[in-house]
Amino acid sequence: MNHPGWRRALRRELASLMTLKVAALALLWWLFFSPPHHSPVDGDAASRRFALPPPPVSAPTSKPAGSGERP
Amino acid sequence: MIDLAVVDVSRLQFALTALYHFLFVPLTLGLSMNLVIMEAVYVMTGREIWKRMTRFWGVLFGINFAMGVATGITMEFQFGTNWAYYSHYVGDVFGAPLALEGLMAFFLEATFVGLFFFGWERLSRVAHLVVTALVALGSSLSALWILIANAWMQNPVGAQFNPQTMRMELLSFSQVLFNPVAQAKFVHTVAAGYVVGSVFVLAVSAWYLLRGRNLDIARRSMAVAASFGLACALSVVVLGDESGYLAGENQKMKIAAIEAEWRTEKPPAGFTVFGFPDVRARTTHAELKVPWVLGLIATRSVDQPVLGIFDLVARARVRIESGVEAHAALQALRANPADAAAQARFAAHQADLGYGLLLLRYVGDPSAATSGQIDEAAWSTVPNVPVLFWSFRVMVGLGLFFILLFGTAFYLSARQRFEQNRWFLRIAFLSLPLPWIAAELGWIVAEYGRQPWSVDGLLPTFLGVSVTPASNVWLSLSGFVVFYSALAVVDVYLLVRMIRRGPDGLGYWPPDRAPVGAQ
Repeated sequence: MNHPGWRRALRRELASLMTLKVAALALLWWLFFSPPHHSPVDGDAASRRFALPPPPVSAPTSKPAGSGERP
Repeated sequence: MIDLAVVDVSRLQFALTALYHFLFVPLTLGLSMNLVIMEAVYVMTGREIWKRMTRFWGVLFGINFAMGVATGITMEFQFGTNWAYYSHYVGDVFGAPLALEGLMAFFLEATFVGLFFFGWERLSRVAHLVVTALVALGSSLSALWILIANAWMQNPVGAQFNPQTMRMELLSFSQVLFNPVAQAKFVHTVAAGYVVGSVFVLAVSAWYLLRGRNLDIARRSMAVAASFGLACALSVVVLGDESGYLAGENQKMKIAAIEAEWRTEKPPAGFTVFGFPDVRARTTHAELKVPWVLGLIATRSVDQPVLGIFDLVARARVRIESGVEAHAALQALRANPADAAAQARFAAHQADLGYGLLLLRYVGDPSAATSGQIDEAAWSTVPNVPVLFWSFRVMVGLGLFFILLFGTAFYLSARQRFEQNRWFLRIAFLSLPLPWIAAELGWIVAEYGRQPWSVDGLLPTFLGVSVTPASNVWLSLSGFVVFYSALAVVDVYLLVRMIRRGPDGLGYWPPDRAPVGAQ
């Protein structure tokens, strides 16, 4: 199984496909995931969404108040 | 206020991509199990024709598998792009099974699918059968983790809300894992996938028999599909009953909407076979009822009522008023986490916080909601009754048809009389799209029936959406439509091409070794 021509063609094909794939992923990232598209969501943002005031301190407590399980 | 146009287009995008993805998932599930059966017969009997069958159906499986992977990934991106608040609120819980699906199931499936295709000449018979079985196991495990995540949205257990981080946090992974809704959904969905795969094999084989091609392979394939499909079609009905019972316990509004049961009936409730639900008049016209059946399915008793929509709306109103209390307590807790009175008030009402949040669609501050707005929010807990009513009935009707189809196929297979009954072959071929219709309708019942919730009782759908212009979501939706349409054309082209070529055209055997008519 020693076909240098075949190996070279395969290498070229793989390289071009990988380049195409990276370019497509970069385009997708730029279109949908780059910083201008970020919509940061944290506890304060969730508070605003739920019409609640932000907390006086931003550090989360380790022990939540009460149980949130459904009845 | 939240831009409801973004909510609508984000929901449309997720619905379209999920429904499209689920065109491929059930076929992957069903074909992989059919492959295991065929290859097991090959290993047990040593007859080459069974290997040839496995390889042929394996090619069709491979085309479908690649499409399933490509269309599944985009949905996970949407949780971040379109549903950022949903991801923040429940990501700690919902993300765990999704991550496990990738690490445990998809890696297993993706690793062994390569060995399945390239290992025929390199592995022993038994080793290759193990590979095929692992591909099938990976497919089913993948479905298991996704359905565990989905079941948590229907019945959120094992988690608690943290008022400081404003998110649900995992309390018990075992409760999430062994959520009874997840178990019922898993077996029902996977069995439905096996039916899809079996109808596919049955229909394509019927096409060969009608054309007098690949007769030995087609007859055997039909025998496998008929027996496996019959067992699965019967299972789907039984397991669907379990799903219905659990929905009757956890999602009473969904059951009431599916049945268009506006008023609570004297138990045991009757099952409405036919009727025309009228949302404006809040009644169902021309009802045709079978006594007792709904009561038996939904409560498994003759003395417990199945609550009607009016009663459930009244209950929702009470929970919304309690949710307003929870929201007010949460406001106090956000301002002062050490406020003991607010902690106690929140603990007493927090189970209804999600109901209080429903009011944010109508008013900026739930405490300022009028009685009319509370009524509106209470009625918003009713999903689209006509869509659920008809989707469920068509799905069930198709499920019963599949039992008849596979039962007839099983009988004809046992009598070896397929070719003498060409009418059946035509019906089997024309049945090809039906299991997909049933599977998609099943998801419409499950997901549309959960509205207005993203996570039942906890998070209204409209609060989970990202802050992004609707135009962005329309742009990505347009991209999906174009890209998925192109994928659909490629997929159908490849499948039709392979089916037309048939096992005899794939050239797995050199001509001198081709055992024509080999048993």
